[in-house]
Amino acid sequence: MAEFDEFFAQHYRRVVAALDVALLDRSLAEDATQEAFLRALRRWRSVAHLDRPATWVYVVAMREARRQLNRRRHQPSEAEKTDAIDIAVEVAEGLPLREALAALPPRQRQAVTLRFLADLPVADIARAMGCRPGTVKSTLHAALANLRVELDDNEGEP
Amino acid sequence: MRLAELHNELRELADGVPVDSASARRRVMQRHRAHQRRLRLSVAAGAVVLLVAALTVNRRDGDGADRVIAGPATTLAVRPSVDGRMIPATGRDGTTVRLPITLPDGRRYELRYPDSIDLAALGVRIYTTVDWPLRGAGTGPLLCCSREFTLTYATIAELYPGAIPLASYRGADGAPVLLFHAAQRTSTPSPYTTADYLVFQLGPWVAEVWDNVPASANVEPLDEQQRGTWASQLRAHIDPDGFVVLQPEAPLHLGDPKAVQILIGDTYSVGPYVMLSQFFCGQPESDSEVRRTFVSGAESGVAWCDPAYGFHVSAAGSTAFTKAIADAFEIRELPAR
Repeated sequence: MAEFDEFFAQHYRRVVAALDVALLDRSLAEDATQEAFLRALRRWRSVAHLDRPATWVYVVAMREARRQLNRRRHQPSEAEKTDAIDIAVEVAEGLPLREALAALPPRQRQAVTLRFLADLPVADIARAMGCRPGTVKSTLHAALANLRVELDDNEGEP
Repeated sequence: MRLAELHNELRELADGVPVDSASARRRVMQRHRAHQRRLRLSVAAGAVVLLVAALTVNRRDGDGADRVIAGPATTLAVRPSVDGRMIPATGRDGTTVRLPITLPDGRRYELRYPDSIDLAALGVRIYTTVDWPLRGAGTGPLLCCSREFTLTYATIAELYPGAIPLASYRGADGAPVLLFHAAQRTSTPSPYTTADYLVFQLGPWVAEVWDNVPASANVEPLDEQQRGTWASQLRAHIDPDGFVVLQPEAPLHLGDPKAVQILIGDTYSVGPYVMLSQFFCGQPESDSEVRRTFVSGAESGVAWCDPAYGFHVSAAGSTAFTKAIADAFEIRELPAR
C-alpha cells in the first residue's frame, strides 16, 4: 500500500491536470482520473510490474473520460458537436496557449496534451483515444500546424 | 512557437490547475474499501443465491421457453459470473469453441474461437440504449429522457448492499424499481460517478439508468413522472442462453442497434479482453476488415471491422491471446428466436 501511496502522490496531480487541459472539464478529469487510480489500486500487483504504470493510468483515465463522453452523445456538448463535425480550425497566432488549445477540435487537443504534456508514446495515445497510431500522428500534425508550432525533423514523432 | 516552448507552456498550464490530491486520495481509498466490503458480501450473497437456485430448480418449467421477468428474481441467478459479468455457456466443434450471444434487442450471434483461449471465462457485460424521444411545443426534440446504460450480471443487493433507496417506483408487473445515489454503490457506477440511478432487477441482470447528473454533464434529469414511466415501461425477459432481452413499451423504445457494446473481460484490467461494437465502423478513421495488430506496453492487441455484420472487434492481452483472436476469431449470425 505504501508503494501505491507513493505512486498516487507522484502522479495523481499530473494526470488530473493533463486531462483537464485535454478535456476542458475539471469534473470529468477528476472523475476519470480517480476511476483510473482506483482500478490501478485494485490490480496493483499487476500494474506495479508494468514498465510504465503511470502510462497505464493515463490510458485508462482517458478511456474512462471517452466512455463518459460517449454516454452523453444523446445531448452532445458544444465541444463534442465540434468534434463530430471535425471542422478545420485556424488558431490565431499569438493567442495565449489555453485559448489556442480551446480553439482546437477536441481530438487534436487531446492528442497534443497526451503527447507533449503527459509524454505518452503514439501507440499509447492511440489506445487512449481508440484510434490507429497513424491517425494519432496525422492528428498531432494538424494540431501543431493549427498551433503554429515549428517542427524540426522528426520532432513530435517518437 | 518551437516545440520546446509548447512543452514548457503546457507544463505551466498544467501547473496552474488546482488539484486537491489529499481529498482525491481519501475518495479513492474509501471506494476501494467499499469495493472490498462488497466482495466479501458478494461471496455471502452468492452462496445464498446458489442455495435458493438449488432449492427452486426443480420448480422451473424446463422447456427452454423465454420467461417474462421484470423485477427481483434472484432464483434465476444460476449462471456463474465474474465481477458483474456473466460467464456464458459454450459449445464445441472439435477445437473450436462456439459462444452464443444475444444482444438486448434480440439479435443473436455466435462467436467462434480456438479452445486455446478461455474467452467465455472472462465474462460478458453489455452496454445498450433505450430511447424516449420527446418533442417540445414545436421547438424540436427534447433530449431529456433517452438513456444509455450498463447491464451488469448481479443483484441489486450485491451492488447496493444495505443501501436505503432514495425513492421507489412501481415497475412492470409491480416489482419495485429503486432510485439510488452513486455513492451508495459499492463499486463504480457507469457512466456518472456522482449521479442518481434508477436500478432495475431484470432477472439475474441489473440495469442502472442514470439520472440527475452533475451540472457539468450538460444533460437534463428526469422528472418524477418520467422516472415512474421508465420504471413501469422497461420490461425484459431472459433468453435460454441467460442473456437479457429488453422489451420496452411506449413511450420507451429500443435505441440505435449500433450503440450496443459487448465486452468480454475487462478493458481496464491488465488481463485480456474482447470488445464488440457496431458504433466504430464505417467512419473515415475506422479500422478496415484487415486485422490490425499492435503492441502497447506489456500488451499486444488486434482490431478490425467485421465485413459481414459491421462489428468492430478489438482485443488485447498476451501475445498468444491476441494471436488466437487475430487468427481464428469469427462472428456468425444465429436465427432469431
